[in-house]
Parts: sequence; C-alpha cells; structure tokens
Amino acid sequence: MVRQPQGTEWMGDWNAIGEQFWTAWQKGVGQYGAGVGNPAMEQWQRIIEQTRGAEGGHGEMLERGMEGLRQYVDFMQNALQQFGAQSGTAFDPTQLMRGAFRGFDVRQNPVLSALRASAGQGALNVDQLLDGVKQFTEPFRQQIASGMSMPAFGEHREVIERNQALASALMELQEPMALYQGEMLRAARRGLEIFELKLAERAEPGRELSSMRALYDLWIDAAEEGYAEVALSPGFRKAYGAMANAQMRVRQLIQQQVERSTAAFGMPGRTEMDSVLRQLADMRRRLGDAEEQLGELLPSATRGEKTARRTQVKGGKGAKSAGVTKAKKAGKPAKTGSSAKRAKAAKAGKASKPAKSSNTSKAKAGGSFAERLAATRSDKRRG
Amino acid sequence: MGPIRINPEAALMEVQTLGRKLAAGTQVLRNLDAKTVHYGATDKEEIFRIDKVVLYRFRGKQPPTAEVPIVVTYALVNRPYMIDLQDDRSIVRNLLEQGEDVYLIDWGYVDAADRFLAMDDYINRYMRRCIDVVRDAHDLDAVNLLGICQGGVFSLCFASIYPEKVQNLITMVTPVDFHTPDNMLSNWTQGVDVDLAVDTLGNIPGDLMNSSYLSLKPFRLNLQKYVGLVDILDDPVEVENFLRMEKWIFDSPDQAGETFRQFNKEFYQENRMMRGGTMVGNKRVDPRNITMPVLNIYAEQDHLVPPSSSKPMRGIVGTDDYSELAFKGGHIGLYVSGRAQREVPSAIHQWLKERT
Repeated sequence: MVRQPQGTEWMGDWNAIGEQFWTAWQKGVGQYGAGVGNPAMEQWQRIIEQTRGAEGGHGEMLERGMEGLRQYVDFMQNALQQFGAQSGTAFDPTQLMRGAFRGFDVRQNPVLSALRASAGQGALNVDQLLDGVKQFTEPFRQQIASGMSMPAFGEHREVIERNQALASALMELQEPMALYQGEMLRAARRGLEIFELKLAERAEPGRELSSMRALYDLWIDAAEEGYAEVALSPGFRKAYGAMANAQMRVRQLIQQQVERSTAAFGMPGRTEMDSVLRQLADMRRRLGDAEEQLGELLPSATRGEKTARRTQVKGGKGAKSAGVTKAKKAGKPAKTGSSAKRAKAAKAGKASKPAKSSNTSKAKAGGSFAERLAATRSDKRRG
Repeated sequence: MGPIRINPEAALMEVQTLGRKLAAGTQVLRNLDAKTVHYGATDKEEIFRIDKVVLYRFRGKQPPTAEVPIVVTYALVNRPYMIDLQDDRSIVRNLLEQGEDVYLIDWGYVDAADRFLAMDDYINRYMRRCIDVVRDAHDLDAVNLLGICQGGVFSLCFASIYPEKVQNLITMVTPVDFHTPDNMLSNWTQGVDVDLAVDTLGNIPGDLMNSSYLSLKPFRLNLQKYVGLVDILDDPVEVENFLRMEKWIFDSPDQAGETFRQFNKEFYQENRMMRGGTMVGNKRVDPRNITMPVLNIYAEQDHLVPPSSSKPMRGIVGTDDYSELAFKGGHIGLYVSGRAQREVPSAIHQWLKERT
C-alpha cells in the first residue's frame, strides 16, 4: 500500500527532481540564444510591436493578453527556480506565488493584477475613472493640510466651501480605498491557502501534476475560488460599494467645479446638457405617440408603409396565420384554443395557479436536450 | 510522492512548444486582417426602425415554415450578434434551418441623446412598436418572444403588460431572483449608490460595465484565456474564432442612464420581480399575468446569471405550462458552443411545435 504524504512532507520531493530539471531548463534556454532568459515573452512582445498601429492589427487584444502571458511565464520561471536554485531546501508554493507575483502587497497583488489586465486600450474601470480626474484633484490636495476645516467667510466664501468639500471628499476616499485593497489582499491570501490544499489533494497517486501548465491551471482554479469566496462576502460588498460611492462623490464635485468654470466662458455644462437631453427624450416620446395616433386616426397615412412591409415579409413566406389570427373587425381578437384561455386568465389577473412540479430537467438529466425538455413539460402537466 | 511529477524533459518541451507556438502565431496574426474577421453569419433585412432601434428579420436558405415568428430581444449590454456569430456557431441559423422565422430587436449604440431613455421607452415604446410591426406584417395577434439575459427580463415585463401579444415566451439565461447568495454581480451592486452613479456619469460607459463582468472571474477571463490562446496560435481558423469572440466581448454599448438606474435599483437592489413586480412607465408588471406557455433555459455554469437566480421563475409566473431546461455550459456557451448548436435550436423548435 502506498503511504500518502503527510502535511507538507511532499514538498521535499521537489528537490530530488529540482537539480535535474534546472539543468535541463538551462540547456533549453540556451537553444534560444544568448540573453534570452524569457523567450516566450520576447516572442509575444515582437508580435505586439509588429501589429501595433498597423491597419487591421490586433494590438488591443495582444496587449490585453500580454499580462496573462507575462504572469504565466513568470510562474514557470519561478517554479523552475524553485526546482533548481533552492536545492537543499523544501519546495514552498508560497514562495512560488510570491516570486511569480513579486510579493503579496496591495501594489503587487495577483488579484489586482488580474483585474488590471482587463484594462487594455479602450477599456475602463473604476480606478481609471478616478485617474482621469486626478489633474483636477491635485491642486486641492495642497489645501487639505491647511485650512480644510477653517470657517469660510468673505467674498469668496462659497468658493472656499466648495474647495473644502472637494478636499474633504478626497480625504474620505482614502478609507474605502484601503478597505477595498484589504479585501483584495484577503482574496489573494485565500487563493494561496486553497492552492496549498489543492496541491495536497493532488499528492494522491494517479492525480499528480505532470506539467507546468497543469500546475498553472491549478493555481488559476485556486485563485479564482479564493477570489470568489471574498467577492461574495458581505465585507467585499461593503468595501466595493463604499469605494464606488466615494469615487463618484469626488467625480461629481469635480464636475460641478468644472461646470462653474466653463459657465463663466459661456460654455454649457452637465446641468444644461441634461436639461436639453431630458427635453429631447420627452419630445421623442411625444413625436412617437403622435405618429401612432395619426396612424390610428388616418389609416391611409400608414397603409402604404404597412403594405410594403407585408409584401416584404411575405417575400419569405406568406403569413398563413394559423397561430393566433388577428381579428380584422373591431372588438377583441378571435383567439383560439388554449391561447384564448390564457388571455382570459391574464385579463382576470389570475392570482393562483396549479401546483407545479418541483422536478427540473436537471433531475431528469440523462436523455437528450429535447428529451429532457419534454420530460419537464410532461411532469408539469401531470402536476 | 508529492503532487508534482513533472518530467524535466517534458517540461522543457512545454517551454519549447510555447516558443514555437508564439513564433507561428506571429505569422498567423500578421496574415490575419482584423477587418476581415467578420461576424454575423446570416443575411438579415431591416424591417422597421425607431430612433436607434432596428428590427431585423433573418433570411434563411429556405423560406420559414413556422406560422408564428420568433422575436428575439437581447440585453442592452453587448451586441446581439452573439446569437449569430459565425457559420458554425449561430443559434439564429439553426433556428432558421428548423423552419423558424426569426426577428431581432437591435437596440443599437446609446449616446448622450439617449441619456434619459427609461425602461418605459424600451419596453412600452420600442419593444411594443417592433412587436406590433411583426404582428401586423404577419396578420397575427401574438408572436413568440425570445428574451436573452437582460432582454429576458424585458420580455417578462412585456409579456406581463401585453400578454395578448405573446403567444409563447422563451427566456434564456434570464434572472428573476437577484438576491441569491451566489450572485456576485448582485452582491457588489447592493452597496452602490445607483442614483449617485447615474447622476454623475450620465450614461454608464460600456467599458466600465465590461470591466465589471470581467472582474467576476478575473483570473480566467483576463489571464488564463490568453495563455490558452497560445495553444491555438498556429491555427488561423481558431485564432480567427478567438478574435471574433474577443471583438464581441469588448463591443459594449454604453447604458442609458435612466434605464440603468431603474434596472439596478428595482431588480438588483429591490428584487422587485420576486416581490410581485414593478411599474414600467404607467404599466404594471405582475409576473402572474404571464399566462402564455413559458420555456426557461438557463446555463448550469453561468457566472453572470446563476441558475439559482433564473429557476425561481417557475414560482412567479402565472402560466400552467412552464418548462425549464438546464444547459450544460456557461452564459456564453449557451449560444456559441457546439453543444448549444446541436441542442438549443432544436429544443426551442420542438417546444414551439408542440404548442402550435
């Protein structure tokens, strides 16, 4: 009987193959030529450079992919270093993770790194929204230390109060940001814990990891699970909401400042634009309603359009109308069969309904999709 | 032994393969013009237009045999060509081949002029007008309505307000219970001051929305996916498929501010659909008014709309003809996977046929 390794006992096994592996790696790297410590990344970078700015290029996608591939290659290299360079010490997946992601702090956190990776050219996230307004906020930072809470008076009292409000909002942004970063750190650490657990599970004979890619995929699974646990928690909900709201408050105050400035030069600001856009929306609704009413009052006005559309549609197939044929005369449509019953029930505001089968298709899994569908339907009818 | 049994020679091969694939990819990508990566496999014609909304009718190789057309209502986020991405990944094409007559309401791209469009506009104006056009063109009182994701919620609202205009309702990956514990997006939304966000941003940038969706699974969607890309980099067809999907993912229209406000507050935060309904304009949405046959299709591995948020539909709609189908796949796989092509259109067709 094969004895299962206990705890982190398996880590020592790395050393046995480590040196052997390291030698092979160095030999392999040599095949790419001198100075090519990271050949895969060089290839990728080359593709980006070749396609960047080119007509019909794929630069955005490649730039998004860059972060993913960079992490993968870092991961491989760090694993290999664990194999070889640390000969004589036990393999430590924590070190592997720290190496791959250059430590676990709020600036270099694998979760934040993964989130930032979505922000290729043209993408936008909450952090970037804030970055976009920094040019406006910097002057106010200088006022934070001096006189933020001093009472405002005199000719520029309102200006001072507005500046104080913005400075205050900027200060208040720090706490939710720190809370959010803390949640991200919690997610990263939880991912690492899960990774260690998953590694231990894979010590079972027949389930060992036999490739770098499998090791990477296992880490992705673990990181995703750790992140999901945290992201679904009440703590994250609170942190996310607080951060988003604090950022919006800063942004809104800046918009108001900008609006006042531009108004002085006769340029419309957000408030004015909103007023116009609201009126535009109202006018579109009223115009649409008027068109419809006109069509009802003067059928001839829209007859040509309708006839043309029917002809267009019948180009595909004549409407045989064996479904629910539209009544040509005034009054309620002459509905047929179950359709009529359903309409009647709808009009009666049917509050109760027959008991429904609790059987779902999942419970019936095993047949084809269509068979499972039929099964749920017949269950329902029996119910 | 421990969990790692990596053969040094095999590991070296992995590294070499990575380099080789990237080198081959250079050539493939150089030869592949992004502008030639087409999407939208099926011919379609414009039937009706109102503001930026366009009603299309898809044209199959054969004339449709179905007597009642299907009108597809997609979500406001992302573009509807997901259901007709390419020749071998097209729910639309497969529905047409089954003999269905398929229409699509395309919401278009929102801009500043649409800042004050509300759900009232989308449902009571745009959807109603488009569906009336189809009803009129086919001389029918009611059509089949197929709503997808947020479009599914809109379809539920529509079917509740205008039950006489919907003969059969099909919903795909449609949430109704927004407060289930596995709904990550909902968890994040609960603490957000939606009024402040809309008042500040106006229309909600599509890229911001997209970033949120990618943040639901940041490691898979932002990192691992691109590592996986390397596996296929030497295959032009697969790379083209990847680019097509990538194009779709990042093709995110902005969201009309007022609609975003109402949808997020009333559904995500207040869970109105599970609490008897809501008001859309001056029309009452009560799910008990949904008395036509309902087919609800959800995806078992859906991270955007977990099955737990869709399955409660059974308990809130008024129909006594409710069918439910679990698809083995994810939110997007339900449209683009090979399994989806084989299973979903035929199941929809069969379900409709039984109700003709």
